[in-house]
Amino acid sequence: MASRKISVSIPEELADQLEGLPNKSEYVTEALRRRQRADRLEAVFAAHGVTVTDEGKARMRARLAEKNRRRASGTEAKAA
Amino acid sequence: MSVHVILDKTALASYAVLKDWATPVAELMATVMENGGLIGVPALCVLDAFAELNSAERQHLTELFAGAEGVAVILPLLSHDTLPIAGRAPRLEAGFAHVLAEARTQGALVATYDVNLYADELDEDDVLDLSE
Repeated sequence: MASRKISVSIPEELADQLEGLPNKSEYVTEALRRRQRADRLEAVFAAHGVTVTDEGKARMRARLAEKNRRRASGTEAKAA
Repeated sequence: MSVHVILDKTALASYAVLKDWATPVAELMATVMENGGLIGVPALCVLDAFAELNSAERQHLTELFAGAEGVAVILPLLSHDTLPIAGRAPRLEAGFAHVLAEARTQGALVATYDVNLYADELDEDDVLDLSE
């Protein structure tokens, strides 16, 4: 895939974080791709009149975390 | 990226009608994406859902799949799953049998609006009730 070198300005604390990474380009590319996916998904939901709120995502995140915690402890119990 | 959650026919159909039931499905998709995972949709569930939806509702799902590129993937029916799934008919609809096969293969949660469908097949911790 062709690539291009560009210069951007970002906040100091993020620049510090980026400096410590072995592959800055890969990290930024993945972050942008994730943002693109989120924007595309959000656009479809908006077009369909479906509203996703931060509160709704937080609730779902908590439910998934709880399910995964219980699944992990169940797996450990079976293995013991 | 791995498949974190599998959507069954009830989840697909609920999104397609775009009433209140669509919101939990959308919240789930957005959350899984933010967690760096994928949503898996067994191919047979897509066929089953489309068979029950009108053309406008089908269009909603088509648009959802297009917009969810890189977030949701349709899981094909693999040759080694075909006969075991076929063998569960007529007791179990092919789409649901495909969900069970993929849940085990992917080690993923199943998201559904009808938890009773899976009561005899999966642990309750492996099923996410979208109606809650």
